[in-house]
Amino acid sequence: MLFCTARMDGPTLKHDWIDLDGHRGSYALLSPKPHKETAIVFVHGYGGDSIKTWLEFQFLIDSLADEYPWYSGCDLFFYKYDGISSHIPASADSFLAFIRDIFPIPRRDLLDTDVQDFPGDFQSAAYEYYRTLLPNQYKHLVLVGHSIGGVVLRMAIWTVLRNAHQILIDEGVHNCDDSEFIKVEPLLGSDLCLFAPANLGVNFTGLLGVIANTRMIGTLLINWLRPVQAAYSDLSSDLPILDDVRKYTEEYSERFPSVLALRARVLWATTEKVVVMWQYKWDGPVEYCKDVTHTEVCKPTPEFRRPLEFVSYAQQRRAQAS
Amino acid sequence: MHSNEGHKQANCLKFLRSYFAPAKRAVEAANKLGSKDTSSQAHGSFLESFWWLYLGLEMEYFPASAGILFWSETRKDFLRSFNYFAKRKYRTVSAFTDSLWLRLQSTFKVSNNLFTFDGDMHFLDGSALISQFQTIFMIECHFARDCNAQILSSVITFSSPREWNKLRIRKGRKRRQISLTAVRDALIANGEFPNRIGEERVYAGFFRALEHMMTYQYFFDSLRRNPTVQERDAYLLERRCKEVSNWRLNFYIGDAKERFLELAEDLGAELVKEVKVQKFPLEYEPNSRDLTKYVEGLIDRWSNTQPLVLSARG
Repeated sequence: MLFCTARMDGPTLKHDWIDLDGHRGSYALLSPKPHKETAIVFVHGYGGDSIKTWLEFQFLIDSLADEYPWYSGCDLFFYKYDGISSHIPASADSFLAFIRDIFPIPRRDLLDTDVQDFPGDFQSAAYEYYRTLLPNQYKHLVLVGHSIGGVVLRMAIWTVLRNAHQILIDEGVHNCDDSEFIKVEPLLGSDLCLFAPANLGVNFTGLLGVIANTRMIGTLLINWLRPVQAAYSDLSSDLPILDDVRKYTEEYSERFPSVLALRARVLWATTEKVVVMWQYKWDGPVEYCKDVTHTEVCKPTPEFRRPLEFVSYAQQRRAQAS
Repeated sequence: MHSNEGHKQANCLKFLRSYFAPAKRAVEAANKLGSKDTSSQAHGSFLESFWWLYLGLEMEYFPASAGILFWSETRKDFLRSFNYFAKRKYRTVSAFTDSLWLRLQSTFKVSNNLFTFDGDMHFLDGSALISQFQTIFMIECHFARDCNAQILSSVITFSSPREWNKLRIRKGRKRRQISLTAVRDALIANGEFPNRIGEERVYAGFFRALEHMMTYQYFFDSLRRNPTVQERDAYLLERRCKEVSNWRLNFYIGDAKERFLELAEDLGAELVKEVKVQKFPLEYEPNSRDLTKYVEGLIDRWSNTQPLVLSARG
C-alpha cells in the first residue's frame, strides 16, 4: 500500500489542504492532530473567493504556529459561493447547506478523494488517510465573514434561530432559555467574527473609488460589467433585508444573551470606505486596525497579525471562562 | 525536514486529485474536440503537472517513493505530451522556458529517470517553505482548472494570427460590440474544461488572469518580507513556481503581450461606455487608456523575473 495512515506531531505539523466534495471551489485545511474540537469556517465577500480573500491565513497558521498554537488543533474550512449574482437570502441558504455538512458532525464523504483516473490502490488508501483527518464531531464552531460574507452569516444565523424557535414552540416549549436554543440548533453556539461586515449597507461611491485603486481591480471590472447585481441590490435598495436581520438579531440577542452567534466581534479598518461602518447593538466593543483597507483587514501577513489574533480571540475567551 | 511520510503521501494524492487528474482529463477532452489550440493548451497543462511533481519532490512536499511509483505509472502519458510539443514548430515549444525543456529532455532522452537534471538551483531550507509552497500550489491549481483562464491562455499563446483576428470579433475594419453581460455570465458560470472558445470566455479569462497575476504578486511580495524565511529561498521559490506556470501567461512568446493588451483596449473602451450609460457616481473621469496602462504595468511586473540578488531587509 502506498499511503499510510500514520499521524504526525512535532515541529513539522502542518494542515492538509483538500477540496470538498459537492462544494466546488471550497476547500479545507485539516489539522493532523488527533483530538480536534474546533472548526473555523471562512465566508468571503462580494467578488471575493475562498483563496484570495483570506490570503496568507492558509500558511501563517502553520508558519506562526509557535505564536498561535490554537490553530494547530483546528480545522479550517474556506467556503466559496457566488457572491455576485445570488441574493443574500439564497447565499445564506447555500451556506447553511454547506455548514450542515461540517458541523457538528462532518459528513464522512465530505473530502473529495476521488482519484479514479489513477491506477493502483491510491483511491482507497487516500480515502483511509483522509477519513482519519476528520473528527467524529466538532464541539466548537467559529464563523468568520468578510464584507457581504458577514451579512450572509448574520442572515444564516437569523434563519436557524427562527427555525429553532419554531421547533421549540411545536414541542410546547414557550418560555425557552438560551441553552435550549443551542441544544436544538448547535450553530447558535458558534462564535461570530466579522471583518468589515456590510451589516448596515454599502457606500457605492466609496466602493468604486476604493477598488479602482486597489489590486482587486477584477472586482471593479465586475461591477462595471453589470451595475445591478443581486447581492449588491440587497444592500443598497429599499428592500427590508438588512433592517429585518438587524432588528430581530438585536431583539433576540437581548432576550437570549448567551446565544453567542447573535453577538459578533467586529474588526474594522480605520480607512474603511466601502461599507457603512457600524455594528449591531449587542456586538462586542468596536475594534479598529490602522493603515489597512477594506480588502486588507482580513489578510494577515507576518507584519500584520491582527486577523490571526482576532479569529483566535473568541477561543481564548472561552478557555478563560472555563 | 518535512519528515512525516504519511503526510507527504497525502500531499501526493492531492496533486493527483487536484492537478494531474484534471490535466489528464483535459487532454482526453481536447482530443475529442479536435481543436489544435485546445490540444496545445491541454498538453501544456499536462506537462505542467510533471514540473509541479518535480518541484514538489525536490521540496520534499511529495515523498520520493510515491513519486517514483507515479512516474513509472504515467511515464507514457507524459511522453505523449512531450512528443506533442517536440514535433511542433519553435513557436509552441518556446512557450516553455529553456530550463524546463532541458529538464524534460534530460528526463526522457538521457536517463529516463525522474531525478537526473542537475541544472537547478536548490533551496537552502526548503522545509521552511512547505506551507507557503502548498498555498501557491493551491492558487495555481485553481487558476489552472479555471475554464476561462484556459481559453485565454490558449488563444494568446497558441492561436494563429488568422484565428486570433477571427476571434477578436473584427468585421472588416470595424470592431463588433462586446456583450458585457455575456462576459459577466461567463465569469460566474465556470466549468472545468473549455468546450467552446467564445469571445465572452476570452474576455472573462482576461479578468481572471489579471486577478491571478495580482494575487500571485501579493503573495510573493509578502513572502519576501517574511523574516522567518531565507530571503534567497523566497526569491527562488517565486522563480521556480513562476517558471513552472509561466507558460500560461508568457508575454514574451509570439504576440501574447500584444494580444493581451488588445483585449485590455477592447474592454477599456466598452467599460467606459458602460460607465457613462449607467451614470456611475465616479469621482474621476474614466478613460479607456487607464486600463491598458494598468495592464501594461502589471505585465511588466509579472514578466520581470525576480533576480536572485539579496537586498537588505528593512
